[in-house]
Amino acid sequence: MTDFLADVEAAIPSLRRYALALTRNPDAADDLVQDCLERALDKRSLWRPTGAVRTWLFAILHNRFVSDRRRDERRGVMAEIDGALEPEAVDNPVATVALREVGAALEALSVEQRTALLLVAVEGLTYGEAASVLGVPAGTVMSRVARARRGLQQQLAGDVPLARVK
Amino acid sequence: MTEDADRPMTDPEGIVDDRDLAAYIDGELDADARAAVAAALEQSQTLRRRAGAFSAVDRAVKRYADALAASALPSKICIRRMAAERRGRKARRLGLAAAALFAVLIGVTAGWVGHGLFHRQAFATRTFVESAAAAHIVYSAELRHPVEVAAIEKQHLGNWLSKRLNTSFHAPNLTGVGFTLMGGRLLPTREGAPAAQLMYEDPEGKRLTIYAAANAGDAAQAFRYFKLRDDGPETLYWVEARARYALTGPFDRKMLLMLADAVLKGWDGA
Repeated sequence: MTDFLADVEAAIPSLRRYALALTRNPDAADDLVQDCLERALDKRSLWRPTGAVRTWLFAILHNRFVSDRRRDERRGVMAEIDGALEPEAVDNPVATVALREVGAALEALSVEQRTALLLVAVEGLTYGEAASVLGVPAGTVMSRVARARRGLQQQLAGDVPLARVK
Repeated sequence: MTEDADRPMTDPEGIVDDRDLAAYIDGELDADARAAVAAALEQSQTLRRRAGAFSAVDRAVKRYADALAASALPSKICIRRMAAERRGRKARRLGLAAAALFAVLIGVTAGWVGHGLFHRQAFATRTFVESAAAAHIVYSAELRHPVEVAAIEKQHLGNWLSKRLNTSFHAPNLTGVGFTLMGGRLLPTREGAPAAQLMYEDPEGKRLTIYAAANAGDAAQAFRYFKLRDDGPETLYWVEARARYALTGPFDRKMLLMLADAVLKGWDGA
C-alpha cells in the first residue's frame, strides 16, 4: 500500500508535465492530474503490480483527457488560444521565443502525434507502454512519433537553424 | 487517421525511413536492426543530419515541457493527503454502516426476542386460562364441597390465600352486583405454583370464580376474553404487576366485564 502511494507520488511531476503540454492550461492540467489521482485511488484495488504504476496512471490521465476533449467538442468549447500557457526561459528572451515556437509547432500537430511524441520523447515511455496508454498498437506509436518528429522538424527548420539545434 | 496508412518516407538511399530512425532514437530496435541503422548512418550524411534534427526536436520539446512545468506543484495535488482524506471518509462511511448494521441487528434481536416472548406469553396465558376454566368446571359443579374455606372465615381465607400467593388476594364484596361469596380454595397451577380460587354465586345459583396466581414478571395486560370450548364457561383474563387473574363463569362477555369492574372496585374499596 505504501509502495503504491510512493510510486504514484514519484509519477506526479511527470503526469503534470504531460497534462500541461497537452492542455497548455495550468488549471485544466492540475484538474486533470487531480482527477487522475482520485481515479487511481478509486481503482487502486484493480491495479495489479504486474505493470508500472506510472504507465497505468498515464493511461488514466490520458483517457480522462480524451473524454474531456470529446465533451468539449460536443459542447463546442473553443480552445482558449489567448489564454494558453506560454513557457518562460529564465532571463533568456531568445530562448523564450524559441520555446514558444516549439509550443506553437506542437499545437500544429495532430493530437495523436502530439501525445505519442510527448509520452515517448519527453516522458520516456517505451512504445509498448505508450501503446497501452493510447490504446493503439506499438507500431502505430512508432509511426506517430516518426511523423511528429518530421512535422516539428519541418516547422522549426525555418527559424531554428539545424546547426544550432544540434 | 490516415497517417498510418501512408507509405513511410524513405531517405534518398531508400534504406532507412523515419520510422526506423524513430525506433533507433527511442532504443526500440533489436540488435540486428540497430546495427543495420547504425551502418546506414555511418554511410549517409543526409541520414545523420536527419537523425540529428530529430534528436534536436526531442530536446526542444523536452525543454518546452519542462519550462511549462517549472511552476511549483499546487498543494492540492498531494496523493498522501488525498489518500488520508479518503481513509477518513471511508472510516466515517464504515462507522455509519456499522451503526446502521448495529441498528438492524438490534431490531432483529428485539424482534426475535419479542417473538419468543410473545409465544412464551401466549403459552402462559393459555395455560393459565385453561387452569382457571378447569378449576371452575370441577369445583363450581360441587354441591356439597364447592370451597375449601367457607365465606364465614372470610378474613382467614384472605390472609391465607394472600400468604400463599405472596400477594394480597382478599375476596371482594360483590353483593352490589348480586353475587355472594361462597368461599375459596388453594390449587396448584400447571407449573406447580400455588393458585387460588374464590367462588361466588348469584340468586339463580350461577357460579362465578376468580382464579389468581402470582405474576412471574410479565407486563400488565388489559382484559382479554376467552371461551376455550363451545360448551365451556367464559373467561376474562388480565394481568397486573403482582398477579394474573381469570374471571370465569357461565356469562357473556358483557356480563363478565361488568363483574370484573365490580371485582376491581371491591378490591379498591377493601
